[in-house]
Amino acid sequence: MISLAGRDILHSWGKFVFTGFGLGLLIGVTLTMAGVYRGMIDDAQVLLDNSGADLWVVQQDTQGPYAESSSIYDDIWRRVASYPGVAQAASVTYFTMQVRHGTRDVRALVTGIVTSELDAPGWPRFLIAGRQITKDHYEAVADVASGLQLGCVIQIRRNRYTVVGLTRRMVSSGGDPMIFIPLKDAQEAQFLKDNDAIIEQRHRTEASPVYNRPGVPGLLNAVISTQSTNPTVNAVLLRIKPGFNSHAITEQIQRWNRLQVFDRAGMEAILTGKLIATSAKQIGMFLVILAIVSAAIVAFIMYTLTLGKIREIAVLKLIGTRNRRIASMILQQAIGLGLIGFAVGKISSTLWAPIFPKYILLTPMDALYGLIAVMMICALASVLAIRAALRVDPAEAIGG
Amino acid sequence: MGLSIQKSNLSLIAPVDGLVVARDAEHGSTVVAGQAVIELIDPQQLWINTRIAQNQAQGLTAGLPALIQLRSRSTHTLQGQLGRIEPKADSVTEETQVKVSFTQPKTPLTPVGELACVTIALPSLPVAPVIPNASIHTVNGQTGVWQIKNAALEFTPITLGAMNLAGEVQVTSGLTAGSRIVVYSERVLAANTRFIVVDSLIKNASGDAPRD
Repeated sequence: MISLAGRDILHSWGKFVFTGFGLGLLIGVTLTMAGVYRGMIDDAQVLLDNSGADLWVVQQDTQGPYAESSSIYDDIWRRVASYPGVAQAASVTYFTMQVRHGTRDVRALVTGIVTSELDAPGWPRFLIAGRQITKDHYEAVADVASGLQLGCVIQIRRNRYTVVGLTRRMVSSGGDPMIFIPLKDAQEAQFLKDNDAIIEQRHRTEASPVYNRPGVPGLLNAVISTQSTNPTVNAVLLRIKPGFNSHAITEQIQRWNRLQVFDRAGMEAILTGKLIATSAKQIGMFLVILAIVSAAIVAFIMYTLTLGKIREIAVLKLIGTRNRRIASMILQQAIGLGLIGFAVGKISSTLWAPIFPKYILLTPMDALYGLIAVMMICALASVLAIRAALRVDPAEAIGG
Repeated sequence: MGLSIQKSNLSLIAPVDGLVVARDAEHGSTVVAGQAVIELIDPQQLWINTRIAQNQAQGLTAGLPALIQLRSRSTHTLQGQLGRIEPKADSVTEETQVKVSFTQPKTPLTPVGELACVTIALPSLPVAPVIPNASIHTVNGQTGVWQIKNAALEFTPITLGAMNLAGEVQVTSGLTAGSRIVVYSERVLAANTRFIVVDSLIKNASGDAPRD
């Protein structure tokens, strides 16, 4: 028994392989798009993982600190740390900004972490080079995705920071690399106005007869100094002692303080369900359309490949080949095309994924689903071609 | 006679020779009792009001050497010493306040109020094993390090002592000198994580922390 499909492919293998290659690139794009979607979700997850927190304490009635802005006083941590079951509590600030390094600037999530305690919540959970921050000021740990190296000096607002440590996969939910700096510096950087604005504000206060009263020396200075302080942070991260129930602690803190508390599941729901929901849906929609387009193209290719062989199929029919053999030839070719396409797609997506600026997560499960989908699409697409082949009149072999 | 005594009561006499840095009242201004008219400094007696976080203020004594970096001359490091530890701490900022003086009188004069970065050298401690602070992790509420024992990872809880600015932390218990621990990793570790020991995780990285 000879393999009709094999024979036919050997007869025009160049055409077959190139078609498979083109299809493969299309499948590669689809797989990459799935990777973009997964990467986006993963970015949100690692942001939560990397904070090393079990509970997030934020401003009342906000969904901070990632999805909404939240502002609480920086001594709140002491109050919540005293609840039974709380192992560690640490203030943290987050703000996204352009960090200047030499002539270029890097978009980064600048995170203020407490320096008083080693491995406190909020600290980078692992380093790939350098060391953690030891000084209270002017040191930074940066993610390697920012392109910064050990010893680089970066400028955040008016201060310069030396990069002393590097991390990997520490990103914001938007995929921006994180840069960790001491909390005191971060508070200043987050709330400090530019110098012109400060001077203007000072002049405004000086011009006000309410604050600059004759005969009350010192009032003006007192007012100005209260205007330039900022004892606030964005959130307090809590770690819970083993064996304690996070719900009970959440309830206790929320009940007696004017604060909002989220656990890991709640935070994840906010991040994936709200913060990145629209962009994730956008990518997901695009993925669906790409899959449909790929399926249509496979069907179209199979159909035209079969139509190109009408005469040969007619001859086969004329010499008495059974319909089943002709159908299986077309099906085998479709599956073969799908396999080449999938292999090319998988390899190409793996090759170009690291070049992308944002994280692309190619999971083995996605690849498996992709393979199954490609096979099913190919099989379905070949049905059209088989129908066309079976309707061929054997007479076309001689007449036509 | 009475008039001249009354007049002399109105003249302000500086207690020391110094430099006028601010004049808060003009000729003809009305001033109230207790209001500053002229601000005066002695350029030979400048010092730096240094605020140190209370949890890092252990072991401070007068006379300790200090390195001073002025914001306007950040490439220069000036010598100084710890003059006095203020008996009153700032309860709001939770900082101990100390005065640091320059060893050499500063010329030219540094503008008063300039920001300075002060590093105070504490007396050296007895010798103890140290680990890099990048190796310290918290697992299940315990502080410790990942140790490599028999080609497997094992989390060892440790107690920590003092840390220096280069990020080396003294280990008071839990580890012995010569233990192999994980300093850098590509991801968060667990006991069953598979691992390969490499020289460096990033290209062109010297294993050392940069100079401070």
